[in-house]
Amino acid sequence: MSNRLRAVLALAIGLSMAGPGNGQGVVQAPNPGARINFIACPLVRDTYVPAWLAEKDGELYYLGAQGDLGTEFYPPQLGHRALIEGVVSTNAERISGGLVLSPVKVSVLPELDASCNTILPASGFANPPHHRTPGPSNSEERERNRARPEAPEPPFQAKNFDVPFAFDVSDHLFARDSRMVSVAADYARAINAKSIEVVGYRSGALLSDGTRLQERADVASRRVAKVIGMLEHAGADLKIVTSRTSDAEFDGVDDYQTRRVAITVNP
Amino acid sequence: MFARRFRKSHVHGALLGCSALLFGSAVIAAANQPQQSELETRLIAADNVSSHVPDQREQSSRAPINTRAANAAPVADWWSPGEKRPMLAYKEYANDYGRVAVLNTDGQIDTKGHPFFEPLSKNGRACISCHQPVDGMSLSVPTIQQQWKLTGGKDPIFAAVDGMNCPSQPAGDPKSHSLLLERGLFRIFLPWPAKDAKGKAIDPEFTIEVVRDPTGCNTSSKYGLASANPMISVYRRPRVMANMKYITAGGGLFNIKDGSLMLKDPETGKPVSMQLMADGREATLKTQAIGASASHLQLSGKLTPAQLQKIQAFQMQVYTAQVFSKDGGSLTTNAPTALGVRAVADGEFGLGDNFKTPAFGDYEVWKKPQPGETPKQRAFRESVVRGHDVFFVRPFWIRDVTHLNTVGLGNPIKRTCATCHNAKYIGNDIAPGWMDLGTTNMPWAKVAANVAQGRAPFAHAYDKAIENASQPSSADRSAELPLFKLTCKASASPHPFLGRVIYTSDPGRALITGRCADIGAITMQQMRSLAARAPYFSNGSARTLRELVDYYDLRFDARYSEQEKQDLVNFLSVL
Repeated sequence: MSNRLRAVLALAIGLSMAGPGNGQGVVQAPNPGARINFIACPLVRDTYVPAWLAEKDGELYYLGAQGDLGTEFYPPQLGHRALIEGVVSTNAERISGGLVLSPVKVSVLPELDASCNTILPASGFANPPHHRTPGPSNSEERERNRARPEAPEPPFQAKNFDVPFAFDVSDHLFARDSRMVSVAADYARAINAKSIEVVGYRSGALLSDGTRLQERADVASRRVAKVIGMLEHAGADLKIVTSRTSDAEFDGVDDYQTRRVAITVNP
Repeated sequence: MFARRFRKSHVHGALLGCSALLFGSAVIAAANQPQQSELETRLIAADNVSSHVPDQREQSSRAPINTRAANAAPVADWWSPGEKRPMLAYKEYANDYGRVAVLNTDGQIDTKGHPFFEPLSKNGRACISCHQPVDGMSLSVPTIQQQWKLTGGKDPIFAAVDGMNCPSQPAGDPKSHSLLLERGLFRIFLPWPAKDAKGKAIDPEFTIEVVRDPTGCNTSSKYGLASANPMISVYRRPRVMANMKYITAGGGLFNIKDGSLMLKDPETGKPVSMQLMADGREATLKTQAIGASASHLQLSGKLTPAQLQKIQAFQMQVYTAQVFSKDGGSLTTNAPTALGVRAVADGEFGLGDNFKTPAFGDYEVWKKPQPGETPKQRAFRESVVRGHDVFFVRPFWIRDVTHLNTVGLGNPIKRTCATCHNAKYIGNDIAPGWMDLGTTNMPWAKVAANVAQGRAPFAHAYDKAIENASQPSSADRSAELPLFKLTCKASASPHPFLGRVIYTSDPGRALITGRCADIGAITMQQMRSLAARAPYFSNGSARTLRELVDYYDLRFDARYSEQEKQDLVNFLSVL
């Protein structure tokens, strides 16, 4: 069985768990490995190191701990609903009262939602596993100080660079994601690239309740414009840049990976 | 109350020089157009560097110039343009908290003919006008008021172009200069719609309506948004012109906070820090000087490359910090490592929100009694140490701050003051430091957002705190400032925490980028020489260090105790 098929089956399990009737009476926790995709107000627990959570169908899910830009998990935002796409931890572990989703991706939905305003009391819960505390860090490192890749050596090959975007977002990139553009531009310069192809995707998300969310119609072209502007700023020769947009397929399995701009640098 | 809607309209204007927000000024009276002097003619530059908003020049040339502008007879510590006295390598200046020092690391400066010190245009101002050593290379309200009294309002800092609430107001009346006299604010006039650094018009994501215009400048047919050269007027404090090696350091290709493009030095092509201006609009000290000369100095020509070089060289070698505390004694001998001006001059740029290289150094030396120390000094020093700890390690929920809570850290985030004030030695943000702290948007924006979403006008704890505050806050002192209603277009993403309709007295960075997400974002100031340069925040809304601390306490519901507040004030006073 392929990994993709396993994932789709897991999603199906997640969908069945989230079906009508499941929200009444006793809540049955989804199986380990099940995919859970949903939109909800995020919750933050007021432990010394805050823990981020979200509730779906009476079940509380743990998303991650407050960290910094060097951590993998970037928390959601109160004041906004969030699209949460995750996998139930295989060992059914709970942190801060929530069933752990790992991996998990969070997209902050752009429009405001004042109902998303809950800070849960610590209620005796321990700090979640964390990268740093709310105080100063023990390191001078910062996300942007990470070393760039070493210069490539021939024979040069075509290389792909994916720039991920949050759901429905085209004008905001986190530092770790915008770095991909400069890495691509550096690579193009280093290999004296003959062409750079930029493909902006509009995609969506299949939620566990079967809802299909589609991104805004113009998001792909906006993403392309954003990335081409960044490439130019990074020194790429626009004469060798071509671009197009495309609608991406999404099936509820790692849909966040389809909301992106793909840069292909050709020698 | 009236409202006018201004949409995209063509911006005219000469393309010579341009903008900025430092410098000083002249006076009122004669409404005749200034003639280009022989000196100005010689100053027209041959280089290709220009400031971000060349369109300012057209409006500055329209503002009347008082050719009878007068400097006061020399008074202690005030520096008039063209004095020609040498600027000492090191000098201390008294303030309410002790003494601030200004250090020239290149040694004594001969100011005769120096473009930072000489009046280069008819309005009589020079850079030194608004960057006074006695005020930590900024300009305090007590100093401004002193100059008004001494010159009868004729000091060049009161020039109609921006030292008056609006050049159209009656000359010689202190009410015409109330924002400068009471809050230390100069008028900053910026083209709207904005243009990018290459002069290309930006299609803004929002429309602007003038809701309240107490100065008359935004609705003026000559100076306002509907004038032939459409400009929006906002009012901001002069920034500190010292410790520039920290301010100009850093900067990558992309803003780490949102992936937007960083400005590049037009001479080197390298990305810059974008920390110079409240709205981040100027790339380098040179482009800033060009802009300031066109707007604040009303210079009709352009600074020469040699002059620009000389101004930049001076700016990069001048440092300022408090060096003596009335209550705490010396800040340079047996003192915490980052205190005193020489520590700033000798320090290195870097990130300071960590225990290895803390932003404001090590306070161990003041944790124990020192030989010869008085009980009063001991008590004060212990308070400073506690205040530093409150600043550095005491967490609180930081919420709804665009360009902090939106960068991947979450909203809210439980952190400390040093999270944002993270630069070693000067305490600004080493990433581009514009954020929407709320000083220009609060409380109107929150009220509008709350009402629009069916909530009570003041829904959050800090809203209620501001509503109920007995002490002055930005809310109480807002009526003298213009109020704008900004509406984000449907095609744009809304402001991350204020939605699509935002009331603000200063849209901040958004006046440069045209982006909704930048509305109200102002580049944070450095934290040195605070004792010398009240009031605080870009709009002068905090008159004292205590009001500054109170603002943060209210805004973030930090729940500081009285002891913590006083400790913070004492800590800030020794920087």
